[in-house]
Amino acid sequence: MIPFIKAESLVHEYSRRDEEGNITGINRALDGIDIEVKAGDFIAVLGANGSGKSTFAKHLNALLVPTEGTLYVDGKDTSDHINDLAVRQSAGMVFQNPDNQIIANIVEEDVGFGPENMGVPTEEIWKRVEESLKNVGMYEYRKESPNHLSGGQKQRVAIAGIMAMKPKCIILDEPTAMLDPKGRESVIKTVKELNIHENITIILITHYMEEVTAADYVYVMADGQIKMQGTPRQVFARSEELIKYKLTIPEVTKIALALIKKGVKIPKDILYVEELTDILLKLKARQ
Amino acid sequence: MSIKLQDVNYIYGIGTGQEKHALKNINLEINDGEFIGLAGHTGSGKSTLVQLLNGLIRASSGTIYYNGQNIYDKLYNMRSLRSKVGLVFQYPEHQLFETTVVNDVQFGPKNLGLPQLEIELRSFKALKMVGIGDDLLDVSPFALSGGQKRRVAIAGILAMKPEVLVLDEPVAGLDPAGRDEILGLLKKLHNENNITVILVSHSMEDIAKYVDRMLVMNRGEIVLDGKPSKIFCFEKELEKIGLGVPETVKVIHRLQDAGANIIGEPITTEESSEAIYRWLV
Repeated sequence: MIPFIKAESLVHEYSRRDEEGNITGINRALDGIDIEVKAGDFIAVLGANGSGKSTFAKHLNALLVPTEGTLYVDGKDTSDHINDLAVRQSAGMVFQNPDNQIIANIVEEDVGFGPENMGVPTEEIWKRVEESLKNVGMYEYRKESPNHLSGGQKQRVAIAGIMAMKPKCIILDEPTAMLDPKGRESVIKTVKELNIHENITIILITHYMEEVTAADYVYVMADGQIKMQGTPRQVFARSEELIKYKLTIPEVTKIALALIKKGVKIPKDILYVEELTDILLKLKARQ
Repeated sequence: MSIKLQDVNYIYGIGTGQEKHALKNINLEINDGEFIGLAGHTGSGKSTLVQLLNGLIRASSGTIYYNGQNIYDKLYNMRSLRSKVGLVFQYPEHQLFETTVVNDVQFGPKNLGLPQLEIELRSFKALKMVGIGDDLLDVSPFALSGGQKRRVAIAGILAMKPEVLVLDEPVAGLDPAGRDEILGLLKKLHNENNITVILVSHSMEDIAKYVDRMLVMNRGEIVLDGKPSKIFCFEKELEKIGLGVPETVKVIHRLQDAGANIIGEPITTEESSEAIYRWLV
């Protein structure tokens, strides 16, 4: 099967310029990225500020094109501008700040904006608006002004706006950084459901460790390179490396590691609250 | 020294027909040298409250006392209040604008009309406090990393010599190392310079790790006020108002619900693993 996303030795260089426009330096933001994502996967990209993860996201949406190497999205070469529209329809993007992405005065009009621009017939637009708002659990707010919504709700409206364009993939660049705990949870839950029920490929870019546990596979970026990859369990078992890349591990894993250090015999790749408490209760019962 | 709010109400849009009662009968005393965490979901009134504290907005009713003086008194010097209560907004690095780091930090003290020597002393000291080295003084603030920019922005407030530092989500958007850097800095400022810190945060983990006293807001009211370890006992209530407890506290509560005899109210990872260990062996 052809992978949905395939990056091969992908390089991106930003050039620094002086006041006259002469190039004064080169900044290698992506330095030889190799990634393959199958259709229907839920991938997380983890990395500190400045690791290159947002630059990578912009490539997936053809907002940036490779300096060297190649990137194929849904079988299309992103460096060929002829493919721009097709790539953006295959892979929709959700950004950090919900207020910068919502444009209409009423929720349902905002969601309909994308398909309208694509020239979808009116009847079909309304069908899609209804469907996508139901998918993100915002249908009852369809007549409201986005101004009256919370951050998490706005972000779900932004996701519905992408869904209405029927993408195969959604890229989310730190979608929860500005949200409160409940908003954060609702966005991640929505994304997970779209992945499972609608088979949408998800690329979640984040530095919240707890969100990464929702993904099937994790890439860790630092200095423009993929430094680690594996399932969340495999990656979080390597806590020292993560800390070296200015990241950390979930709180639950931290407790497990502290207990192991004290001599308690439990696995070192525990990720979830219930998982840890079950193991501990069993251990206690056996004594 | 303290800040005291008495029966404070704030209503947005009075007379427009779309009035919103953002703060309801707030009675609160913030003592000198406290490290306070202020939590509440989006729209709970946190930002309105912190803007009242340094006089950016005026209460619709009620009184605020700063060090015993009514700040709404005609003769009260509101300008001095704004330098005593430093407010660091969300994403403060968006407010950096000068050509060099040191110029940016000097902007505040310059506006206070201080002598040049004092301006320079204050700005160098503030930059030192936030850990920005001499090699970065003449660099453009826009060439710095996210964490560095934020520290420069905080230095700009510190150069005003505030007695109280209020920060609205100071670590939003930073990676774990950057978060620890900023929060560690606040703890240090609090310990070494006895600055009162009010930290507005969505992160229960950060509150658990750093603050002595926690305030929880919901629908314009302060609904919980106390030590984080006590407040996290209200897990269900906190979840109902869009917050929650740290994962570590969830682990302890699940174990206790299953009958585990875990003593105390541990909240940080260190305390939790210690308490679990004592119960296990």
